[in-house]
Amino acid sequence: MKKKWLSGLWAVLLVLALGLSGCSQSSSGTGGQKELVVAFDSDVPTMDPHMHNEPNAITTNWHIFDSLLFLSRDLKIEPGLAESYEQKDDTTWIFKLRQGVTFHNGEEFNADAVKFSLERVLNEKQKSPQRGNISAISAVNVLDPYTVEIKTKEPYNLLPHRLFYLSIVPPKYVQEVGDQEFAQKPVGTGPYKFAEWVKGDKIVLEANENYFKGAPKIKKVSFRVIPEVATQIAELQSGGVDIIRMVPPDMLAQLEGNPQLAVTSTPLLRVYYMAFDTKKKPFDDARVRQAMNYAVDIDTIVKKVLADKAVRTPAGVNPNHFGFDESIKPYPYDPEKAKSLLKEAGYENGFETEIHYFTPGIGQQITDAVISDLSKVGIKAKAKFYPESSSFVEKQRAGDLPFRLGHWGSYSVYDADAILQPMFDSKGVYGKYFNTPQLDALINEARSSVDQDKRKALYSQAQQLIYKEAPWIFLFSPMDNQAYNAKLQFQARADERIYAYEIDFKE
Amino acid sequence: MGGLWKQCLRIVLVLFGISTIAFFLIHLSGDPVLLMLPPEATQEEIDAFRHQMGFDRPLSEQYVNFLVQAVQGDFGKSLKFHQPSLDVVLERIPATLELTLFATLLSIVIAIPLGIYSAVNRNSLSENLVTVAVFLGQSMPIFWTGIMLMLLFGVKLHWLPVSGRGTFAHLIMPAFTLAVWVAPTTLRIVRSSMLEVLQQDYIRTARSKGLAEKVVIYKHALKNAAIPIITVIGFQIGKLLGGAVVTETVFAWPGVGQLVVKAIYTADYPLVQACVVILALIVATMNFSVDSMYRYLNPKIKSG
Repeated sequence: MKKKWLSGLWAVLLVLALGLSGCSQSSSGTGGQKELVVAFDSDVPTMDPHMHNEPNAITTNWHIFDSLLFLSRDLKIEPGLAESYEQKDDTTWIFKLRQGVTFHNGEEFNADAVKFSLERVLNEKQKSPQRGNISAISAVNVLDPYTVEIKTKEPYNLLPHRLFYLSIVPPKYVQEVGDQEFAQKPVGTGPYKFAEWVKGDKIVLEANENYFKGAPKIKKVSFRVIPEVATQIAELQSGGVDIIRMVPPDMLAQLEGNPQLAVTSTPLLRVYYMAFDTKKKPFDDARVRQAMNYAVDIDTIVKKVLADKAVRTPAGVNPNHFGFDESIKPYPYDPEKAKSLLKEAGYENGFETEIHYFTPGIGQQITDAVISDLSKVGIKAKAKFYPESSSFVEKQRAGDLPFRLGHWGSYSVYDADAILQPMFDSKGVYGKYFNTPQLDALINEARSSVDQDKRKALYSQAQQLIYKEAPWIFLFSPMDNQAYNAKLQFQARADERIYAYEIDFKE
Repeated sequence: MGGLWKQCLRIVLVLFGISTIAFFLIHLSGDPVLLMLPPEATQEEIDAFRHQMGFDRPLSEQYVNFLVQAVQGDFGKSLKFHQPSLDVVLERIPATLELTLFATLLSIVIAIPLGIYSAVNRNSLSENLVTVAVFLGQSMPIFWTGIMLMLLFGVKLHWLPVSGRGTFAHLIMPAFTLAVWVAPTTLRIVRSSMLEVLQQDYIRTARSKGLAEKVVIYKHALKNAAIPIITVIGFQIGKLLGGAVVTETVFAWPGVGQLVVKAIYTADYPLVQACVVILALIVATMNFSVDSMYRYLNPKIKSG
């Protein structure tokens, strides 16, 4: 009886096993074809390139679609679907388009597609979350089938930067199938064609052999959704994926010792800071803010918490931002100086405060380290963690956080404006925490000026002012640690993206 | 038939209660508008968006709207996926069912023979070993078990794929992780109810008739010990769905568990609600089937 009973169960299992394995045998090795597998930490929300603001989705879009301009690995502006562009006057830009390009479905690419794509994002009814990126545009005019004129409301230097991530979509196809269908089955001009999207699991792309810059070397690309870092690392070690991003610093040593893997760290644009509300006591006194910069040993934090994979940002601006002033050196660690500044400001016995933060993991480690350093100069700080990032964001916007740990990614715009305007312009999103009329003038003059040398000089002045006023404890910009299969010919990009078109297998 | 109607009514009441609790828990924790808009959005844009999403209306009104639509199977569009939430959940349901059902099966295969074995061989050395294994299985966190299996069978031995879904091989590790987590409870129930049954008079009678010990244990005893065992297996389905949240995340298994975690983190209300209601429906249905099986196994039990 026992045997019968058990063997019955095993038979059920076996049938299940055969049934399941029979229906899907395709996921492993596809013969000689080169497949690249990249890990994503979360699934993309949609395949519609205009309806999201998410990093993984932008990476996916980049393979399927092209933009007017392309951002090279070392952050240079290169031609994309536009062969060239010129600024005719302060508010008029002319783009000459590439001819003979077709979308994956055969639809022709021309000026109408550009007008359609830009207007689709700008159209309020479309509710594209990317509208803010190009809201400076006032009109898109087709001059001839391969020439487009873009007008901006005000002089706007950063227009080319705003076009890197703006995908050009096929107007006929989108109108024919509708937004819902387009969001499931995208068609673009890019180096890869959409093949399959298994929700929550993977996205599969195939090479576009007719790509206008030449057929891609890697013929198949899969983005696999693997939320857990430990699992991503295990997959990389077992050969299940070829590239992972954002490896935690404490895992690096383990991966570096593996001869089949390679590790690379690239500077990111994201800047970490601890910001004061300079309208509230005791942070209304610049000496207190400077003292706190002297009191925190940031180099040690970078070494201990980030395994040295970070660069300092002495006045908030990232070295990768245009306009970064390299002559400014970070506040040195000097607790004695901090104490004397506090004494001068009348806080000889320190004070109590709270550090508000919402980033778990690294955010907590940084906060703990800062609290310990501050206590050495008499400042008793406590950590206030927000498990719900929405309530942090809401309070941050409302100006309700006197002292907070934050970070800012500049929306991948490599220009000082992308951080100074939102942070320190009185009209900026977080401008209410710190602004001065002089800084307002500098930021806005630099924003509307077309002379890059002049802009650089203005940004230098702005950074010197910010450094002196110390509205933040200036922390650092972490690097993106990427680990990959050593068989790959791979160079990390400076913009957090992984772009299979630039990658190949060795041999 | 009256019993059936009562059971269905009960399921409806449970779903109503669960969705009400979920609704208020979610809505009292703030609204997701600021998370969904780019930081440079103006106050007017924020207000307009909030209005459009209906978040500016009184909570009671939002609740009534939610109920009216939910009854029609409409939980609203997922804020992240821009698709009806119910569709998003239903797409992920097969993966979760596959995982939990297979894990249940595995846990039965582990728990029943071992449970019987330890009941029959009471106080032996091997029974003590089983007890130790039970303690281990119960105290290992799912996350840890999963990672350890993954490192051993995926990374070191290369026997099984590390994560993801596709072939049967992909299913083994996550299902086993879950099975190890729930099997101890089942095993203990099997053991205790077998112990109880084995002391009954009819077992003694069977033995005295000269029936083979195997027949006594598997035919007479196990059948009579079945009711509590089936009950516990049924209830474990709910526990398994909870465990699937962790297991799916660890093994990158594209099911509802993973989805609901992400939905909570990103404050995707409509999606959270759809997930909660569907998961509750599964649990309630399972419990309902267990109840029906009861009645089949033991006609003495009347509905009520």
